[in-house]
Amino acid sequence: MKKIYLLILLSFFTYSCLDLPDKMIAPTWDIEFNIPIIDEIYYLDEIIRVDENIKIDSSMGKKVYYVESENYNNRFGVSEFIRYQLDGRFFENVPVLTGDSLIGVAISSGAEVDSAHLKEGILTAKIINNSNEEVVFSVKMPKFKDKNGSVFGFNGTIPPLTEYNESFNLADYRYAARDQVNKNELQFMVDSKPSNTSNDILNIDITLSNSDFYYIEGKLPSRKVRDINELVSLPLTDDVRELKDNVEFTNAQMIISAEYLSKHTEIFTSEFRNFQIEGVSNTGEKMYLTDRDGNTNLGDIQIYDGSFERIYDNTNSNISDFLSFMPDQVFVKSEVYLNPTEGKGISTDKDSINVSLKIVSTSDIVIRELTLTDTLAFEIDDEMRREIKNGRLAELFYQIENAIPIEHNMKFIFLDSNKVELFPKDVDLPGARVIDANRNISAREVNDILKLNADEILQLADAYYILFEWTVFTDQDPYTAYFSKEQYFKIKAFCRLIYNVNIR
Amino acid sequence: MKKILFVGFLLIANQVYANFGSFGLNSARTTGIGNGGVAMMDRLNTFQLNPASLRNFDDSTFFEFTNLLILPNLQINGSNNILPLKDISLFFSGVDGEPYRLSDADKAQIVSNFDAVGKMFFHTKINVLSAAIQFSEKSGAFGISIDDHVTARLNLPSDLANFLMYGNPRGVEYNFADFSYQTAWTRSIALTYANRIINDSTAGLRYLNLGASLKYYQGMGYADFETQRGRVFTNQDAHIEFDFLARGRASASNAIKEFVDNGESLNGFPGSSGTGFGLDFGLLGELENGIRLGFSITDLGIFNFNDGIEIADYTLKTTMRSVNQKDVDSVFNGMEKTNIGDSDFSVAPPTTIRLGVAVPIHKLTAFPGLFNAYFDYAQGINNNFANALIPRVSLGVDWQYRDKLPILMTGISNGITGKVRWSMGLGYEIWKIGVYVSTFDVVNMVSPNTNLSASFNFRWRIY
Repeated sequence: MKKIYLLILLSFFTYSCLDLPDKMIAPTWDIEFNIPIIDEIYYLDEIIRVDENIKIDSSMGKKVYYVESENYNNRFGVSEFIRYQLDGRFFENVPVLTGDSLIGVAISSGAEVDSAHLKEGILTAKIINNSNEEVVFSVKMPKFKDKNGSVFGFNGTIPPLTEYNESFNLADYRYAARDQVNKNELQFMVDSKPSNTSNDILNIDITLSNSDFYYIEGKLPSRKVRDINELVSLPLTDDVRELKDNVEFTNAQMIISAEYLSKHTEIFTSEFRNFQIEGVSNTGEKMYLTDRDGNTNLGDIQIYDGSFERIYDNTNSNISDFLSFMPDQVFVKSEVYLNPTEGKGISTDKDSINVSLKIVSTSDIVIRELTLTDTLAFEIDDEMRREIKNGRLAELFYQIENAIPIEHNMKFIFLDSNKVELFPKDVDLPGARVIDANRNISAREVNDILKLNADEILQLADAYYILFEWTVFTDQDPYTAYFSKEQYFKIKAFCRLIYNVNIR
Repeated sequence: MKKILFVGFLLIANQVYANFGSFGLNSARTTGIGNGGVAMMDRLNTFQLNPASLRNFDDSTFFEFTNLLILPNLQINGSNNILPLKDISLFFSGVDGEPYRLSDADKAQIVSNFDAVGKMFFHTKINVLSAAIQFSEKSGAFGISIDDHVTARLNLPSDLANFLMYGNPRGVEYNFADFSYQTAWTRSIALTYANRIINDSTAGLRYLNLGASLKYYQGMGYADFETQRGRVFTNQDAHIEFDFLARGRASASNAIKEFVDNGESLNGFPGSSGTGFGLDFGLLGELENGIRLGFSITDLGIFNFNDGIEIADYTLKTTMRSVNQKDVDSVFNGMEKTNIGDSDFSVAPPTTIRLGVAVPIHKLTAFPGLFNAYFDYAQGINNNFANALIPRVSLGVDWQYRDKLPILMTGISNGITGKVRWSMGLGYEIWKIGVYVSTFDVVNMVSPNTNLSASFNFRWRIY
């Protein structure tokens, strides 16, 4: 019994000999994390915002985007057209004794003027009396009246063998020859009388020059009023320039319009001759808008009813290629003529022609393989790199429903600090299909896994750059890709990560 | 170093029960027999379990008190069902200097250790003063006891272990609704009186003692946190749903607040933020054959906190569908705190009903020396402090082979985690002093539990 007692006693004292480690080293274990990455649906409506250039066309039942450039206007006056239209010269030798004689002088421009309101007009008169008699004379221009209705005229007495010189400004005079038979003539009424009978003559030289008008009506000769070489700068961004030569606009239009601006309705016709549209890129490359035959001269354009509009589209031009060229600047070149048909009309010094250019394109496009490349810095600190090495497996589960008709191929190439490739990863994403002429869309779904095995995770810890190559293109047949507000991109992704917990 | 680490681990991870509930330790004397002793009659060593035990049968007069200052009476008890020491040894020793890699079986074992709820407790009891005196047989025995209890009780749902071991696989729902904690620093001042109400072998009883304690509670600080909903579900798309609702309550004296908020020094008397009263009642009788029967109800009363109150609800209901900033913020910054108010609140003291039998084997058989067996049943009526609704049953023995030799004690009992705990103790009474040391956890090397208890009693007996 004593032994039992002692044994119990000893066991009591030996209790507490716990076998705890001298140095505590935390264990490691693998743990699975499932981390939601994204669960979003992106409508194009949220990505492409409607503004002054991007608009919606709902006429076909779908809210289709279209692009409309600003209306690039250029307005120029045509007052050159009416200048000098009444210029003429009367140069005759007449007897010193001349009763009231009505003399017609051809208007040098050939114009047949019904009426006009002169802004300017210098009439110079030089009369040489070759006789030995004093001559009293008067000259009247019955079609010119001042604002009070007084006929313009001048008179005087010229001593023998002397001359009369005078000039007059016909500014603000009205010219009215509507009832005149030969409207292409300026009429003068000349009356002279010598102090004594004489058979000598007077040399009369009267010139109307620098005629200019507030208003003129009649049949004016055709005249080139100016050369147009207007520059339009398109606000292209770098992103848009990336599309250069890779996008075909299947439903694009360049709309050229012009309008003769006048407060009168009986305006003259006008004509744009040798019309050319030239695109110039910032790099100096050039491209002309051509007709279907490849002519850079787009012909002559006449304005009959005060305005015209010409639309260049894929049926009559190379507009798709022209826009694919992505010109930074567009030059509109032409020669402008007025009254090419030699008809009657009214023109004023305030008349002008407004030329405008606008580019409109629906979002029906063909994208050839367009690859965007970027090198992204994989900027994580050393602590994070150590943590990454504890990863055992990383799987990115993604489920994508693409209702946008663009195919995507994304390639991620992980590079080390010397930009040497470590490993690549590819993601292909098919685009939606346009399934009928009513532009109905069938979305495409992808349900896939992007997996990084243990070796790749270790390499990921050594990655310092990611070369990202993103190729987009359209692959639609027979219909064309287009973009509408309702199109969407739905993505759901999560990451399954097997991670080795290592507290040390 | 091992011991320091071990104790440190338990201080961090474990809650210790003292006699402030059905699973609390009372004294080294009672700890040694499996934390029983309602029918044991040993004055200061037992009267907090049963105030009737303050009046001994053999003593006509006595005066004894616990040690003051030099060797304070101290009970520490730790228990958790999370990580057994054998697992600590295996998992934390490493392999050739490298970390040990947990296998699937290891992880399953760790999770299974939790059962439904992983319980981690820390509780220390310091007996500031206990004294008892009996002037004469008729006067009965008077006692006083002042004890401080610091308790922390943390319940961790087993799904927390699942999460730590396995992460958040898709389709798995975790329920953290069992997450809770309670921590308190309380002081109990008990005045006890016990006397014999039957002493002349009436009705088969050799005697019957009746005892009662009137207790005054002080609460220096209290906080609890109860989770009503705590659901985390990862669906097949890896969307993580969070649904969390909990209520937290706190009460602290100004000194405690200053200590917590500003790191001000804290003395042993920081003022109270709550007070309460309690009553212990007990009967202890002995049959003619020497078998003793005990019954008691302890800590019946009310504990009211009324100072430095803060009550708030915490809610989080969100679903993380992506790692965008909004979703991430909704989880990490999405917990909403709603202040409920600063009204007083009550916490029921750890009322416990106890029944016990003490059988003097040496009287019934020819066993040498003094050999007693004890059977105890303790039923808490709440889950506060060291109390639990889970019944506790203990069976223990003590044996003193001869006078002047140590008293050997051993016993078994169920722990709050449901695991069996084996206790062992050693006592020695000589001259006017009695010294007891015990532990409640002999088998923690092989048990799934990681438990620690240490009890020390030093008692002066003047006469």
